[in-house]
Formats: sequence, C-alpha cells, structure tokens
Amino acid sequence: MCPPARSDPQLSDSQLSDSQLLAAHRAGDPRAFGELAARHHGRLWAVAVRILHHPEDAADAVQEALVAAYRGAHTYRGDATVRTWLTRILLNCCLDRLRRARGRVELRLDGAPAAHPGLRAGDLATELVTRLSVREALEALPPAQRVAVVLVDVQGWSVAEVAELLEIPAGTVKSRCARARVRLAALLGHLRTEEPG
Amino acid sequence: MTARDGAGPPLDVELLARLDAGALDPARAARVRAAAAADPRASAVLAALAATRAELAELPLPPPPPEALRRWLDAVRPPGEEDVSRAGRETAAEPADAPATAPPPAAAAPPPRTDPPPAPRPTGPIPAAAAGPRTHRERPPTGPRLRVRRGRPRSRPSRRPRPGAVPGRVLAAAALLVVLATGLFWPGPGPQRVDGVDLAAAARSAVGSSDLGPLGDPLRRAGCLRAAGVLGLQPDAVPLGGRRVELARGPAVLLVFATGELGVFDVVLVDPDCGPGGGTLLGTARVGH
Repeated sequence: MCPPARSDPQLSDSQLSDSQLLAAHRAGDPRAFGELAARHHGRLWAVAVRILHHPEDAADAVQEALVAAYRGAHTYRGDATVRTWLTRILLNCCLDRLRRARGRVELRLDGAPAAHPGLRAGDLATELVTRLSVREALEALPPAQRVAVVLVDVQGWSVAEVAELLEIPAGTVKSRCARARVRLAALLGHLRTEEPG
Repeated sequence: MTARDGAGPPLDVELLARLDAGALDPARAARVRAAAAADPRASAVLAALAATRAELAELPLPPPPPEALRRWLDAVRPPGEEDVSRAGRETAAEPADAPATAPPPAAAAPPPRTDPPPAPRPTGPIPAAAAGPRTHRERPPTGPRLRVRRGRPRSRPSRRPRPGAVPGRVLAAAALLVVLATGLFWPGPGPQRVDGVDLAAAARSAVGSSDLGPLGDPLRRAGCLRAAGVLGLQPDAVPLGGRRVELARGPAVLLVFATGELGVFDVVLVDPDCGPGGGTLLGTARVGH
C-alpha cells in the first residue's frame, strides 16, 4: 500500500521517506521526484555502469530509467521498496540497450541465459594466456548472468533481494551466479580447465 | 575433475560452483563439501571461485560523465521549475520506506521552504530533457551555478598586516596554488581550464546563498566535513553560504566559512555525495584580503 503524501506541509522533501516522496510526486509536488532522483542516482549509476560497461551508455540508461519512473510513478504498487522499483526499471533499460546492441542475445530476466554470441566455447576450453580485466570479463557474460553477478557480487545485494528485484526464484539467482562465476573465473585466470589426457 | 562426492556424480566445476553459490540442498552440500575438502583439485576450484568473488567485490566504481548528474536531475524537473533539487544525495542509511522523522530542533533546522501550490499531476508534456538521452541541449538554464571570471585575482590595497598574520598577497597566492593544484576550473562557453581564478569573488558570491543541495542538512554537512577530514574546521560550523559548482572532474559543492577576520573566508569544496558515510575533499583555500 502506498503511503499518503506528506501530511505535514512543514516537512521538507529531505525528511520524507522514498514512498512519501513518490506519493507527493503523484499528488503533483514538482520537487518530490527530483529529491528521489538525487537520493538514488548514485546507486542506479553503479548498477548501470557495471552492466553496460560504457559510461555514456550507462548514463543514458540512468536517465531513461529516471524518466520512465517519473512518467510511470502511478504504476508503483508499493509491493516492493522504491529502491527496488527504480532498480527494476533501470535493469529493463539496461537490458533493452544490450538487446539493441547484440540482437542475438535473449534478454528476458526470467528466462534462461542465452549463449554469448561473441565468445566461442573453445575460448573457455583452451588454456588462457591472456587474462581479461574484470570489466571485459563481465562484458563477456550473457546479460542474465551479468545482471545476477553484478548485483550479488559487485553491488553486494543479497540473493533474496535480487530475487525480489528480478521477480525470479532465489534458486535461479544462485544458479545464474554459479554459472557466471565459473565463466569469470576462467576469463580472469583463476580457473584453468584440465588439459586433455 | 573426476573425484566423487561419495555415491554422487563427479565433482565437476559446475557442481562445485553450485556448492559455492549455496544452490545445493543442505544434505548434498555437506557431502560435496566433504568430498571437495579431500580433493586438491576441487579445493582449487573453490578457491578460484572465491578469488573471483573477491575480485568482483573490489571492482572500482567509475565516476559518471561530468554532465550526467545535471542531465539526470534536469530530466525529472518540470520546465520552469527552479533549480532547487538536491543534488548528489547518496544517503549512507537511507530512510527508504521508514516513516518520516520528526523535524529537527528549530535552531538547527534549515529555513522552512515556502512551497508553491502543488503543480498539476504530470500527465502533460514531459520535462525538458526527458525527450531522450543525451539530447543536444544547450547549456541548461542558468541557475545558481557558479561561474567565475578568468583572470588573476583582483589586487586590493594592501593593509598593514597584524603581527603574525600572513600578508594578503601571500594568502591569495596560496589560494591560487591550491586551486591550480586541485585542477579546478570554471566552465565558460565549454569546458576549459583557466590559469587564474577569482576564488575570493566566488566565495563572496556564495555568501548568503543556500544552494547546497543535500549539504543544506546540518547533520549531513557535519558528517561530511568530518568524513572528508577538513582540518582546522569544526564539522558543525555553520557556513556563511555555499553553492553547487561545476569542476573539471564533475559537480562539487562550495562552502564558505567565516574565519573571524573581516573579508577573509575559508572555502571548502567537497563532492556532492559527501555525507557521514564518506566524502571527498576537493580543495580548500583561505581567501580574502
């Protein structure tokens, strides 16, 4: 249930909770959403830049997400925190961008991760001589795995939080993280596959 | 990887990764863990996964492009609305959906805002920059953004220095060196580096201004100054004023404090996200005559 807009007009925006700010925005307060954006833009940026890799793309995604949230504030149902709601919108913006950039990759958050078109299976099976940077390695992951491991291992969200955010079972989050970590471990040089006997 | 977890399948990398991720049921996890402990190769795989997680956790966060913050906030501000949005708030302990707290004591509270009548619900045209990302807008409407003239500091008639006081010219020069050392510049028609900055004028123009964004909150500001390690300044000192500015590295907040000497100010520049949880001191200077 969404809380009512501020009941005490003496309260400044900075003293309102996220839900109250969103309610104030829906009620027509012209400054409320700006306050909300100011609170969350850093967190949204952190997620976007680690998923999209390129700063300009990430900045665009954050802007798209904020605008989408601004427009779609009436869709907030109150069944998740505002932070989760905003992050969910951001992730959809990020995945839309990835889909436009790599047409063959399936980007459903609740679907099985698709094979990365740019990384052949043989690349992982051979002994690596070049260690990728973490950023490059993340970029090599399928989007669903990338989202999961960025949120859990980079951003420090709990599995339960990520499951709620992505609206998938916790087991699916764990599985995606597990697969992502195996790929990353190989790409980062921590894990070497067995040489054929 | 061919070791087995008792009667189960071999300890392949995928299975070990699932163990590492907590994706196995407790009973199986215990068997696999025990088998892995007895298998050097399995242990090495688990160590590799742990190292990977550790490396991910240490991934540094790049800063956003310099114009991004303003672009984001402009995108959600109705056209014609004053630039009163609070920039750069990244609360260490966000209120999230907690109930609103009671207002702080009157003595420490920021001046009450006179809210205009609520605007109509935004169902009409979208705010100015919301038409799309990176719209090729001109510079945003001028608001309380600091723009400082290029050039050398103004010369002032020298005054007899007090015993032990540093001559004004030395202070101004020191301020200039601090500015140059920290790579500050003030935006003109486009990003540009300037050789001299009238920091004293910048400080004087900020006196009385309260465009501090989230640092208008006294508690946050005190936490910021404490976390940023501003020497010689009490964290709870009340600034004479301040304003948000644009530096080469991105947005910042300029704070002006009294020194007890007429016309001499302490200027502090911090990042807009500065707060009790941390902050970056971008520069300090004492300016004036």
